[in-house]
Amino acid sequence: MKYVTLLRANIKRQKGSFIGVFVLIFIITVALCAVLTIWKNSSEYEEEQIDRLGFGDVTSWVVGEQDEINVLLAQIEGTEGVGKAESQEVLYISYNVNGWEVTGGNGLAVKYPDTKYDYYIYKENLTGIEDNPENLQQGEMYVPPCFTTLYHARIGDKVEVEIAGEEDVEVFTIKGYFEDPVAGSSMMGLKTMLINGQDMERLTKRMADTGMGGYGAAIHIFKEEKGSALIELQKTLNEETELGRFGSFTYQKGTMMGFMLILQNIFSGFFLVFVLVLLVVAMLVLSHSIVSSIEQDYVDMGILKAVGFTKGMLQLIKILQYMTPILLGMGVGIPVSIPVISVINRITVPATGLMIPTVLPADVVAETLLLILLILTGFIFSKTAKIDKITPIRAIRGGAEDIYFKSRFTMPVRKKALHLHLALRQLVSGKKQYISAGLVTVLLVFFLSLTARIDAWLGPDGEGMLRSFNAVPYDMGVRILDREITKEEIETVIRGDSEIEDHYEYLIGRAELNGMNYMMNICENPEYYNILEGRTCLYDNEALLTEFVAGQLQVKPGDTVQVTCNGKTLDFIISGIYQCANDMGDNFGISKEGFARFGSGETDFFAYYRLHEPEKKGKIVENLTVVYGDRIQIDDNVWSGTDSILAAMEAIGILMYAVTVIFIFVVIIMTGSKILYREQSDLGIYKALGFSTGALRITFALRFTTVALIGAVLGCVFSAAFTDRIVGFFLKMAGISSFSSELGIWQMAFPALGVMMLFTLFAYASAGKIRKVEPRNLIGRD
Amino acid sequence: MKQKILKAVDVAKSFANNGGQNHVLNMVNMEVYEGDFTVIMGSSGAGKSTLLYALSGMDKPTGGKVYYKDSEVTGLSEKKMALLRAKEFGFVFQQSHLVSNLTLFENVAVTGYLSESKTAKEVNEKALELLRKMNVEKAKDRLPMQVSGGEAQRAAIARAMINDPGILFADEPTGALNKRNTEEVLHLLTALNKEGQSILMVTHDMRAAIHGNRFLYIEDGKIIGEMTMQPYGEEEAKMREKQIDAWLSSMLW
Repeated sequence: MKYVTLLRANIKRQKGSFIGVFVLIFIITVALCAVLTIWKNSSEYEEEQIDRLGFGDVTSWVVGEQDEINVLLAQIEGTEGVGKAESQEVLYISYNVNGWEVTGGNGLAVKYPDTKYDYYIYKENLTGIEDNPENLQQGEMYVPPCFTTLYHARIGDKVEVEIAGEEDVEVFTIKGYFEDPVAGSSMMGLKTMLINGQDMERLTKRMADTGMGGYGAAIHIFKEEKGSALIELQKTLNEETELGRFGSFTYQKGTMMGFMLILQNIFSGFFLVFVLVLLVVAMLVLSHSIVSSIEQDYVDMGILKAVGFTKGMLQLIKILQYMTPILLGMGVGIPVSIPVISVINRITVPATGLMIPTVLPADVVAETLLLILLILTGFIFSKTAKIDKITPIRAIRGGAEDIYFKSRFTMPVRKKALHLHLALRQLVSGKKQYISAGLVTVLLVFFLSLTARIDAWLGPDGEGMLRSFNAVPYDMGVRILDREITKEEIETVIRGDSEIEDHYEYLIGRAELNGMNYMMNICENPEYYNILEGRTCLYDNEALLTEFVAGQLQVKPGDTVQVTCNGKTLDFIISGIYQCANDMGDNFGISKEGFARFGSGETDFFAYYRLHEPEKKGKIVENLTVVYGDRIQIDDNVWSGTDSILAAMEAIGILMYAVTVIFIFVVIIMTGSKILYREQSDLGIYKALGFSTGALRITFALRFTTVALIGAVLGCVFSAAFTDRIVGFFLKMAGISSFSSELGIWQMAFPALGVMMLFTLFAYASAGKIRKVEPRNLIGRD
Repeated sequence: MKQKILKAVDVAKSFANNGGQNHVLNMVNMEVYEGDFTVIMGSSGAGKSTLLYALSGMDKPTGGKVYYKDSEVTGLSEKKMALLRAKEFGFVFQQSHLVSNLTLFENVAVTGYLSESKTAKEVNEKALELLRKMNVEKAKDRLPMQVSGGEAQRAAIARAMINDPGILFADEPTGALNKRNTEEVLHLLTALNKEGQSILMVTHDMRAAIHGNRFLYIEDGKIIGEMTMQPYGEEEAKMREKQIDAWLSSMLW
């Protein structure tokens, strides 16, 4: 009972600290549960769905006639290490939605319903999966939810599927959304669309009749249970079957999962670091609060010791005083995180393409929270250890030693800018009191500055990210499909709006590298490749590999690799490592001369242009489209998938600022109130001398402004020093091996100024308590 | 004819107490004259300090009015009151109440900086002069916790004098000092008064009271007696003590 009575009294007296700790731990718990749930559930769910749908350990998308595909299937089934192989009928289509034209067969039409491949259909408002989805009628289509963000397409909108150019199309109406665990993420260029079986047949026939072809299959290959590693299996398949001849692209299940989870993994990892930063912030605030509260309770504790309480009892009460709001914060945070996860899930479905279960992964959450609880308990235990030093005699003689103003380093007090000088003096005198606020500023500014650096790298339209995904820099590309059109004619149209700074030929293809299927970049001017190590591929027998491909194949610059293309295998020397995040970094680059060694003959390259006025690109594309229509193919270096990333970054930024505001508020309430309590007497004296409440509030706020200024500068410096390494670590998951950020003065100053302003405002508001400090409190009333 | 520097008209102060009201000051009417060393005496709980705080603007009376040099100060805003305290009122507390993180010199000078009429240089010179006068010049760069109670209290007097206040309020200024420091502080106050400084002091210590020349006796929140004497002279200390003692006895102290 004695514990309960004292605990209740302590909590009542220091309810500000109680509420503050509760709020901090509550936010951390909600954020942590949400991040852990999304991270854990998304990877588990993604794998479950790929398996449930019937996709293999390796899936190859091939183009060809039904008979040819059957032969290939038999070859694959007969390959050593293959357990079984199944073929799913697909139709490669080009399509147009709300003006967004997707060409190059980057659309896959798949039959629905299909007894073998049971796709999940979403409820209309994307809140769950339909139990009894409606079958598609002719002319109807289910699309992945990323269509809403990529093409702003809604239910009822039309999708034009090209049969033979822009003039001959079939129009489908979007009936709803479905879950595509293989290509449903907005990060992926390939998009699956479900159509009625009769539509599938008719489209196939019509496209075959017009010579457009497009028929093919997704071949799901399952390895034998005790078979070799997938990478070996893939090599064997390429060597022993005709897979390469079908212009296929092949992905392992893990790679497909990587593509699909790229957004979740990057942002979960990023946010997890933020939550850890918040945890450190909470510990700093806790430390300050505990030390101050012990000093505040010094006399009482001395008296309690005098009447028989032991150090252990008093320490236990103090530990319980802080563990109570921590446990409550966690207890309330866990259930609150469930609807939060639901909301995040609903908002992110269009970007992730997955309806991630909102059930908390009990094991991970419990283990993580328990670990945090243990850390905090140990931390509080160590901080409350100084209760041991309190002796009844010292307490009765006047409490804690006057340790606050022993600083040797003092700031002069001058008449000019008196408030600022006083603030600096108070700050220097009691610097220990402000260390936690300073460190909190360093951490928060560091993280906000880091976010700003990522934003700056992304650019307003995501061009920074596109630069990382592109193998070469360009503003736009044109491929002539009609041989009557000359390159000169095209360039005349372009020059109508902007001078051309440079142009070169470029093409993306696929080829095998040491038996593995990769995306292949071919560039007329290999000087444009972004080299990280070694040099570019100057000669026709040289190739560039990304860091990831080099890692997969265990090769390095100077080694020789075998490239198989057009049925010909040639040796290439690796001249260097380059940066290109396309296909999550699974690509390599060669020169146009190198490509010519495969005897590819007449290949229609894209002409890539670098414009003098890149801002005119939109108008140029419009003019070219009007003049040449579908007789040319235009690559305007715009990827609608960047919208999702920019939106996610914006949402994360807003969330971080919101959490930062709450944290600064709590930090000020907790540290400020303790400082005000301690300085009550000095404040009364200042008032008696003629200082107004306003003036004292300003000096109080200025102390925090100064601390925040120092913290903000350090935060910016740390951010400049460590951002590239930290962010680079996460971006490697997306195949971006090199991240280099630069920040303008204003972009750098904004988070720093924001945090400083918040500290100042909250400190000024919190110093409102000074109003209640009366000079008359300096004396005992007679 | 001496000028009235401070005047209280029907000043009342009450505090809420267990649902009722505790009337500490009951319609106090009094004046303080320029150049006087006025001493308010009374038994413990009579309302001496409460009256001092109400008169000096440290606390707001619940009734009545206070005039300083014929201007009402009771209704002044917090800001104007702070300005008045900075420029016109000096205050010496029972405890020195120096700002703990400022040196003795800074404690004095900071108050001077609030005055707009003096430059920083003038304030610094005056602060040094006052500290010299109060015999604490050697300790000027020390923090309050590094000096004795007497030195701190003398520095507090210097601080109270830095802006040449119209009136110096002193609330039991020797209450926390030993005998030697008490004597020193009282001599300083007397010396200031002799230079023309108006002083209003609350005390229940006879040794302190004899330094005054006008005495007010407060009982149950009312001024019930008044006595005047010639200004203090050291040689007549014993005689003054007897005279005041007799007066207090007549007040049933």
